[in-house]
Amino acid sequence: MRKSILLLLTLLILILQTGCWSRIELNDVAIVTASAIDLAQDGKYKLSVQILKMKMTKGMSEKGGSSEKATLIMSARGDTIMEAFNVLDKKIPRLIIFSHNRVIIVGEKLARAGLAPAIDFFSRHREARGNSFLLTTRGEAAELLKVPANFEIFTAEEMREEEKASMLDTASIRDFIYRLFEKGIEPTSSQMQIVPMSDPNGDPTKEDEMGLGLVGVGIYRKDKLLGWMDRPEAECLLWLRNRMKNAILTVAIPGKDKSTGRVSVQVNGAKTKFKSKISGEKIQFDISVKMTGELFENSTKLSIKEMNNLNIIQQALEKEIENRVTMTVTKLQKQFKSDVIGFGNILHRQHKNDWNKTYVSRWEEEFPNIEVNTKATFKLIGTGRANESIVDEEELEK
Amino acid sequence: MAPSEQRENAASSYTLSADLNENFKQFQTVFDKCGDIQYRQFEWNTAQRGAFIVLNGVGDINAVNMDLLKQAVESSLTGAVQELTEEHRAAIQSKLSFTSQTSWSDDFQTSVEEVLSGALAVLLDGFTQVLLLNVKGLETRSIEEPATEAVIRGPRDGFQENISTNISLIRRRLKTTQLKLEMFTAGKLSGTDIAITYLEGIAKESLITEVKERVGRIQIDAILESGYVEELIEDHSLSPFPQVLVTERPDKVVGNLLEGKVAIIVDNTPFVIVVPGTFFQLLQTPEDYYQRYFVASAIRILRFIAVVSSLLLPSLYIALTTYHHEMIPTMLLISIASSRETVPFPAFVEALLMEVAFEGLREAGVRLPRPVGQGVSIVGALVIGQAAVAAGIVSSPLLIIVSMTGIASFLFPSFQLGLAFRLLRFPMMIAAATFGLYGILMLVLLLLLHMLHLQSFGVPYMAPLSPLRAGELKDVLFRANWMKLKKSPRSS
Repeated sequence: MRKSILLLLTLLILILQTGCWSRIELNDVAIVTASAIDLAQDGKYKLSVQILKMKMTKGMSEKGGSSEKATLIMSARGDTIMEAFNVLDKKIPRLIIFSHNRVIIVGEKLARAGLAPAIDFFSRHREARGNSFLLTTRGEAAELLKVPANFEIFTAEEMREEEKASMLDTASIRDFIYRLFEKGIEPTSSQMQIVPMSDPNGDPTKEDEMGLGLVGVGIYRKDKLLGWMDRPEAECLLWLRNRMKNAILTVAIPGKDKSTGRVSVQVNGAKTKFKSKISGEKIQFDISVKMTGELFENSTKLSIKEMNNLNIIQQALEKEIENRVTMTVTKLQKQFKSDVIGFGNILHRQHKNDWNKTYVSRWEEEFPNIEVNTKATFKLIGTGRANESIVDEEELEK
Repeated sequence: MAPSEQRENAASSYTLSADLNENFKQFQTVFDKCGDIQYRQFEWNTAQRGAFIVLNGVGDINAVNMDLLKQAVESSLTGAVQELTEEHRAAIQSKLSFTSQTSWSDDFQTSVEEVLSGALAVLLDGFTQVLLLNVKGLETRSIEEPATEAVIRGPRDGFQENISTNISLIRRRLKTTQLKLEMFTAGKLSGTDIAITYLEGIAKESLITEVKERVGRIQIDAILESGYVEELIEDHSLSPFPQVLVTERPDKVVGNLLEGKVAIIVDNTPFVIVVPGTFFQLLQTPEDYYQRYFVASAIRILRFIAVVSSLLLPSLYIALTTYHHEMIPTMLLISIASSRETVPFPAFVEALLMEVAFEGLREAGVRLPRPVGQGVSIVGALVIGQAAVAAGIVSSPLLIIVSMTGIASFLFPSFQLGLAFRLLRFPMMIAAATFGLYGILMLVLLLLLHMLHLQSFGVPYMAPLSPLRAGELKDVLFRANWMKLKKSPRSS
């Protein structure tokens, strides 16, 4: 009995001596929601973070809007990210935590110089999340943090929502690093810009509400940014990587009496298959894209009731898909010479020995020369509520 | 010398004599200053005398009955009888046995005890034996719906304070001679009747012997409630968990008897003990078996969720908000953090305050007379609910946690088990406040170890989950169709 009490006391002392070593109350933390990294003039890193001001967020949710902003943006420079972070941490009375950092934005200058040294911090620090989205932007990354949020409480959440809903090839920090390490595939990251809400492609005027928009994808070789791909091509990247969630395809179909109508379909299923062939020095890829979708808009005179008309639409769509795939692949091969789709990866899987023997070391030189043939099939699985073309009927009345 | 011992000594030292006066005087000494004792002396035909002794209220007899009784005794004893013979006995008994249970006793002490528990003693001049008529008639309450275990569907009768009524409630559900009842008396002063009941052939012989032995071992002055018995016979008195099932419902007792358990009925309390008690049995209600089995299974699952949340919710809140901010989804973290912004206390103190306040309110609600109780609940709702949050003393997410915990702890079918979990919540909160999730995990492990170690009358507490008897699980985690449960399972 005495022994057991002694044992218990000893255990209790052991436990109590340690104290509550990592206990931090929620009132003592500053939550980072987004961070931006730029390359400063002097070659140092400039780390900017968006921090939530908690009392403001409460006001936002209760009164539905307050004049003060819910977030605070701070910047610091340092030779390493950690150093800059340390400067930031000392500026405010609360402990900065990174565990809810949802997006990491990298400026173009830094991306072109090489991302690896900068994102090492985010892959190593135990608070940082692998599933934070990696974004690149033309110009200063810090500028993006300053855009006021239109729907959410803070911008980072908006960025993330946009990433999640997007139809572009998105990448988290973890994805990016995996693709960096993997042979036969190059990383990408989404490109986010400040765009006018009225017309994302037009020039902003003063009256325009500004918002954030995903406008394309940054193409990398290793960790260095090479250039951008705009939306249509970036969408195509998704099809090729079998990541498509949904997309809209629009094709023009010439009518009989020279009047061209358009057809828009919502694609809701896509499957892409690759077949590789090695014949001597030549590498050939056969890509077959199979898509299903629903007809959502039809401004042609074609009546959907006719099977033949459906075939015309489907063939037009198939042609469009083939064109876009070819265009995208050609651009990657000729302009960027970067295999972001992962042809090398597929070759590795399908011709393991050849890959290991010859191509693994010189895939970069080989990639621009591969031959790619595309075959697309599109199947309409729904035509919406209307059968007849309204356009057609109006014409008939005249 | 204590009065009880004095009385006992007097009783045990005296042997009945043939002289009525002598005997009568002894009874008078023993029942000295007992205001509720009634003596009636009478003479019968040959100028020989007799006496009735009965306790008011305990023995139910009135003047008319007494007169009839006297005549019956007289008519069976003709002439002067000095020695009691078999003949006389038979004559009296045959006259009286129709009205009530009779017996002859030649031991003074037994006679006194019988009178105390409601017998009418008849002393006859010249007889060394006392005729005891059982005229027990206690004031009792009528059978009502049990207050602590209400059901939507199911019988509405509940046990009450009278042991024989309680036994009859069980008997009428089991019309079989297999249902056995063994009577015990315990408590030096209270002399409480205890009945051990079981189904012969279904309950294990070893279990019955064990229960009888433990009940027989009880040494205590008085037993006022079955809680005394529970504590005196349970295996681990240092555990917070109840190891016997306590119920007010006859159908629940019968259901358990059919599973091979043994019930202990204690006089003067509506709460019947069923042993052995297991954890999962404590989480079942008879209604599980009356409702459709899909619904019943869903409710059981809900109950398991309630068990976990009543134990862990506040501590998880503390652990997550003070140690593991990264584990809370961002938007949730933001709403928690923003409402915590003005709170002057650490999360642990905040939670402790609210939990204690809640427990206090609940206890007050039980104790207070009904009209005042309402006032308490209004004040409580205002203080706990609105004012505290409005003043920024506590955060509203914590309030939600506390009320969810409260609701969860009301879901326990066994009030005792609910109490255990209410209590364990507090060490759990301390563990969470000092070590975060790690602390919770450690304490949960300890608790599990403890629960796995517990045994009730030789049956592991966590049976049939551990040791695993897969066949019986169909009536533990969910309730299978009666088609599959036709045969009563044998416990242990």
